[in-house]
Amino acid sequence: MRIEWINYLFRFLVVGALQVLFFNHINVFNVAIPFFYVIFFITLPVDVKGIPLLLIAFLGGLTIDVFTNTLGMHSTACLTLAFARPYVLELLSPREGYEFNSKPSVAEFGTLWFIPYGLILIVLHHFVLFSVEALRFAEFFWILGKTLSSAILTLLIILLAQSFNAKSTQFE
Amino acid sequence: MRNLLNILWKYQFFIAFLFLQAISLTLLFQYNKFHKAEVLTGAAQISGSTYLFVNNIQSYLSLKEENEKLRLENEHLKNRSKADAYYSLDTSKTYFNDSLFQRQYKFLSARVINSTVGNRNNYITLNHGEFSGVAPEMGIITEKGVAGIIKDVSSHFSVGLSLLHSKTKLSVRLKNSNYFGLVSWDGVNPYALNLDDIPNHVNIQVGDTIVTSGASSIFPYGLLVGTIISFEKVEGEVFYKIKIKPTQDLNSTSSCYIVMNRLKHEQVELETTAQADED
Repeated sequence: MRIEWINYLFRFLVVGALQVLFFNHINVFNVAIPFFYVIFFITLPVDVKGIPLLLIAFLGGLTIDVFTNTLGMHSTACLTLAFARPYVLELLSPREGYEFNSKPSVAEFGTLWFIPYGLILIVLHHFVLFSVEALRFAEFFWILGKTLSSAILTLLIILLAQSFNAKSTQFE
Repeated sequence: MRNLLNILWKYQFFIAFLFLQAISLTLLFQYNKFHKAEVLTGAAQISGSTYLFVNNIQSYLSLKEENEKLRLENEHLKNRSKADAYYSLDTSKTYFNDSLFQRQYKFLSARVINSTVGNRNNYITLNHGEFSGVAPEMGIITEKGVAGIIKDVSSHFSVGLSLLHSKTKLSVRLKNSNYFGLVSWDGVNPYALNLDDIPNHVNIQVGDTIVTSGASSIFPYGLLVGTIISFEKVEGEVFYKIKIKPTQDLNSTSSCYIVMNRLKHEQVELETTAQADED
């Protein structure tokens, strides 16, 4: 169990570094910014739930915030994602329920299951993030547009990353 | 009591969520008050060192462009040099102790180790901090124009508000008619800033140059800011609605200068006493 925690900490460091050093500088047509790091929260094992999940999301979001000078912005969005995650998992649960220690990923549940699951959480995260950033409801449609375009970009990148991951696990 | 505890236990997830969300929203809205806290200075030091490490590697990729820029700037400075003037005063035998020959503004070369343009509020991280004499409210410029204003400093790094930040307000004037205006950004297009407070009757054209006004004690007079790309008269309003394009592409800033005003303290002090006398 302890080794697993260290493993996840390492994963977060890699994903966070990719976000801060690379994906934060991508700005497609000035409307879409990928927030790849949410892959970490989305693909945590199903058994990670309740208050530990919230704490992980809060601390993870805060770490990204420190690097982007936006204290409180990413942590708010990540908390909302973490709060919604158990409900979304329940909504999309397979008929016989989740197996012990299963991970909501493409490798285990398939692309067709992962797309709605990922999209709901990503859209929610991005919408909260952009709303908190703008703090003006007059710009609702601008925020919505930016949310949808960024969410699709993020989802594509996450699917791509998962496809590498899926292959490597098959070989193991 | 038992029931209450039961209810609390039942909704612990929701309560914990509300509690953590309250903390992060407080952080969000109180950021300016928190920014001097020790913890955050430490965090800034960590993020600064990380960005510096990566930038040390990245900077090799743009060496060619940087050299080109330096040569152009050298050319410009050589043309202003007094060494080959027709007539120059021989200062080897005489000594002038005249403050007129001292410069009011000092420029410190710095490297941009991190910057963004995609967010609503964008920041620039520089590789100089308190130890190099950098303080909040100093200007950041490049050879092409204004880039931002320093906000926070730690011992080795400083973070500045980019021109693309909702709180950046830059006092400017039209280069050919000297009317004052205020440049700000609405958060949508990084290639179009707003220019306000230019009265309707002034004759302006697309392509007009906007320079710093020198009124703010942060920037000297006459630094390039941008050029007008569009303007319109709004019915029933006294001021134009003007969009300007910044001359410095904020997406590709890699080196810059920090502007230090030596007389700033004096100017600010004088202005506050003058205002205090009126009240």
